[in-house]
Amino acid sequence: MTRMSPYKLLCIAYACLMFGGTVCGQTILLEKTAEYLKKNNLQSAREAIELAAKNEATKNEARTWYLKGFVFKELYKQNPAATENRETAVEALQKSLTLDSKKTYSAAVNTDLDYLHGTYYNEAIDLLNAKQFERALAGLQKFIAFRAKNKPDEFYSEALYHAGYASYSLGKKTEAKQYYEQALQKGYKSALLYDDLTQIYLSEQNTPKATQTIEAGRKMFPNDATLRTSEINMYLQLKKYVTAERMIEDYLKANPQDTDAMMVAGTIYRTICETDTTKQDVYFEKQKTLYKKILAKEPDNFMANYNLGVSYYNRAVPLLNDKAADLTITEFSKRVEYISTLILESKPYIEKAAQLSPQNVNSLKALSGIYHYLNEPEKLQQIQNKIKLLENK
Amino acid sequence: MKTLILNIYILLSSVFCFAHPPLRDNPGNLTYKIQSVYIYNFIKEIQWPSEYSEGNFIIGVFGDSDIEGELRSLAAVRTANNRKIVIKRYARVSEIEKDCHVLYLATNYYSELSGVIQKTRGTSTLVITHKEGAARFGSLVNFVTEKGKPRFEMNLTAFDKSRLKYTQQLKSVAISVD
Repeated sequence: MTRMSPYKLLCIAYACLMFGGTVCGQTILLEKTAEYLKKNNLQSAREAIELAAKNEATKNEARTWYLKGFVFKELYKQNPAATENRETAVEALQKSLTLDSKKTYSAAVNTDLDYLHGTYYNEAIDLLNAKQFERALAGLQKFIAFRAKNKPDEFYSEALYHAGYASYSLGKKTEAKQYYEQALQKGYKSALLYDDLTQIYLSEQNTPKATQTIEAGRKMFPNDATLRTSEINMYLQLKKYVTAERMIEDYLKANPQDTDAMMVAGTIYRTICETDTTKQDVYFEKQKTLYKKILAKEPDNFMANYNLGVSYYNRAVPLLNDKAADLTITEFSKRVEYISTLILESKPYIEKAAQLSPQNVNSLKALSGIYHYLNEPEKLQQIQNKIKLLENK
Repeated sequence: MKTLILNIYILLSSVFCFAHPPLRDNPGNLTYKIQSVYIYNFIKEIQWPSEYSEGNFIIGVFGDSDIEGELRSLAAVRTANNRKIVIKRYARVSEIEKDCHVLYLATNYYSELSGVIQKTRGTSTLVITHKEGAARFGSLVNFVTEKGKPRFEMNLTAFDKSRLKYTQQLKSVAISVD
């Protein structure tokens, strides 16, 4: 690529001055730009078009700004890191549109603008993947603003969803909700959209909207595990335990080998066990049966080991409530025996969990509690040392 | 145009179901809860001499122990035969009062046992420990763990000397030590 010499450029400018008039300015500077572009001499084209953009004769011509936009778009393509060229290109092209009353260049200008906004979108996706939400959102907003006027297609609705996600990640829930709702309205179809929007409605305690959204999502994506889990979570949050339990049990009837779903069922049983004192025994038994079933299939399943161990432990805790002091010493001693049985039952599962995931502080803490209860001081000391090490990391 | 790599998304909702269920109580507390309920039962099953029948019912805790919190919770809602239960904390042997009904010696302060025994000799203070073998060294009740189960030992000789009368129910669930 050859740059235009300062002398040559001076001559062109001088010629424009001498001849004055629009025709000369357009002919010389704009034609030169076009000529340099043909030769792929972008630097010279840039210098020529910048002069034209300042020249009285050409600065109000749509073609000038179209060419400027084109040159800077090409410069940006050549070096995408120089994003200021893209900004200049977009500004120039937009100015061209405002000056182009006869719409001579508008089709070409819009094609270039579409390309440039496409780069905002692509860049935003990379930024989202890199969790740079602020910059991603800025790019998406430009893309959305352009496409809203020109081409509200599937990428437009997808961009609305991504803008919602970026906003949500930035803690801007109101904006996130607006983007998500628009995406839904524009026909964007994604289980994640339904899921995220449901969470926002739930956080606003807008139960009817949350229910309506998750149900619509489940209807559209009946086999989506995330949505199923979310719907169950929602019913749990709304304390509709019977519905949550029915949903997961129906699913398990049809998919008896799905251990993830079994884990969800275990969580439901635990929640019921902890919240409804009249059903503690029943749901404790249900938890045990379920986790043992998972462990029969997957003995090294960390969560199943941990959850089963903790469910034994947690069953023991309410047995020592305030009313325990009303028992006679004989009755209380029997209760202590039962509690001890539960703790002893819990031990191998928590030990296994700690072995499967030695960096997991939760299981180590549970284990230290068990060793404390069982009065195993050496093991207790070992575990406490491990916890200290992990917590100081 | 590019599409998003969806799997990098942190799902906003599904985390809940797979989160670690928390332990419903600090595990160490179970031991102290059991001991505090046992102590409350001792109050019901033991009769102190008449000179201990006036005023508040005093439970002393010697040293730092999490049992103190459990005993305070219990004392807030319970009485000892219609007498207010007061929890006191002692840091030195000299602080132990004569009218202390129950004295719990924290495990880490076990080295103070002989001083405590000496100080409470001739009184009817129910000295309670939580240390293997402590009942043989003069404490009246000693919490132990037998095959993973919390139990308590009663030193019957020491009981006799302290003029504390206990019920058969209490003796039947204890491990008797002479």
